[in-house]
Amino acid sequence: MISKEFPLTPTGCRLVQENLDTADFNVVQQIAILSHCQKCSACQTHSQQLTNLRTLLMAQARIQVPNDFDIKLRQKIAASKTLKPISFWQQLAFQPAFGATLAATAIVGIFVGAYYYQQPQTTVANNLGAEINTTPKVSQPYSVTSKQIVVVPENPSSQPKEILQTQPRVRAGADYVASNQTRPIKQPKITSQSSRPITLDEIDVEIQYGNASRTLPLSAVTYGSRPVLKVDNVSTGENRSAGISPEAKIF
Amino acid sequence: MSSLSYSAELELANGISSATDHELVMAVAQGDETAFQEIVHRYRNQIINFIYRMLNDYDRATDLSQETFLRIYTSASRYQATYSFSTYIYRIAANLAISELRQRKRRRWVSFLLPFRNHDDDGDQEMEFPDQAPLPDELMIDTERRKAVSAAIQSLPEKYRLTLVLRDVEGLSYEEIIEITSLSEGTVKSRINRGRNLLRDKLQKYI
Repeated sequence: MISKEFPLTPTGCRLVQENLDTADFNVVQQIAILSHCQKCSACQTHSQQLTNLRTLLMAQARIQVPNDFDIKLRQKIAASKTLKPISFWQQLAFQPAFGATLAATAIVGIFVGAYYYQQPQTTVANNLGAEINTTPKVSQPYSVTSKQIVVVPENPSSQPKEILQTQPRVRAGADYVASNQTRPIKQPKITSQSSRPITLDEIDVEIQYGNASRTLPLSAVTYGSRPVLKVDNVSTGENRSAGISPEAKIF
Repeated sequence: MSSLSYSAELELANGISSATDHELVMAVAQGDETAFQEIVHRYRNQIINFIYRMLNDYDRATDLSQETFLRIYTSASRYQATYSFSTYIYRIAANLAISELRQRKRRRWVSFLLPFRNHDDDGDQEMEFPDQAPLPDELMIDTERRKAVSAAIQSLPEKYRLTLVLRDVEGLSYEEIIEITSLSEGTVKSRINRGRNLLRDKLQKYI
């Protein structure tokens, strides 16, 4: 039974060495360990070294309590009674990670703010038949060139089906310049002032639903968060986005 | 207190000294300063030595021992006698010591001046003990051994150091260590064993 518990194998030796100190919990185990150690010189040496080590550690001189220990303790107790408890926010402010988190948040905030600043949002309309609030007119002119394109989301399958059926059409002045997804804008035919740069508000979007349709300035077509329609000026990097609110449910 | 006769004071003192830890904490919770004094008297040596072995810094060990007693004092009303008071006080001291070790680790990481520090001024120096050995040779060997043991303990990873100091320096039982550290029996055994093996390798010369 004894040899079964702690055989003369590396595993048996490991178990003996781990349990040398705790053998007094169990008399049977203690006998088994003693029996193993009598046969195993490595465990015998380990046992002896453990005893010596413990003797060495126990023999470490104890330090003395300073004479003013009690007096200083009393002072600390008295001070603690007069101190106000530190609030959670005060504790938080002194955490080393707090400053770093604050700085990281500020940096992220600046980037996000800058991103949205470049894309003025239009207000969301409940539906296209209702009155639509528009953002203040953008005075920045957008010259429509052959480089400009109308972009409908690259992955149309991620959009609601209803929006795919809208077939937005874009026109400058009176002429349609694009009427389908991801199709480049053609050079607009502006008969009256063919060479002048046109503003964004001169680009209209026509939304067809059934037999009816509605035409709105691009800047007035509202959208919740993701643009359906985007006008990019590749040469300058300027862009404006507009789209149809999924919440409108006009189809 | 001053109105009591000498015999009454003696009786009160005897009563306090024979009270159990649990009774004393209950008395402290009710504002009994004498009971608190008795607790400090009973445990200050053990706690300061335990923290000193963890930190190897006498001044900080003194501070943290006082902090331990301060916490006992302020939270006496919340003490629950689910386990022994000695376990409770060691647990507070262990948490403070570990917290200090972690703070030191962080401070060491950010300290640019560390390479230029004068190690003679280092607070982590081993304490000098009063001469007790009769012969200079013995004294020298004893001092050297003491420093070696202390340095070996300090070199242990924090998790092994805690369990090993509690077991082999403070002489606590495994059950007490399990309660103080909230670890399983297997983990405690394993950590003590690994700590000892590391120490044995470092102190081969002395054992």
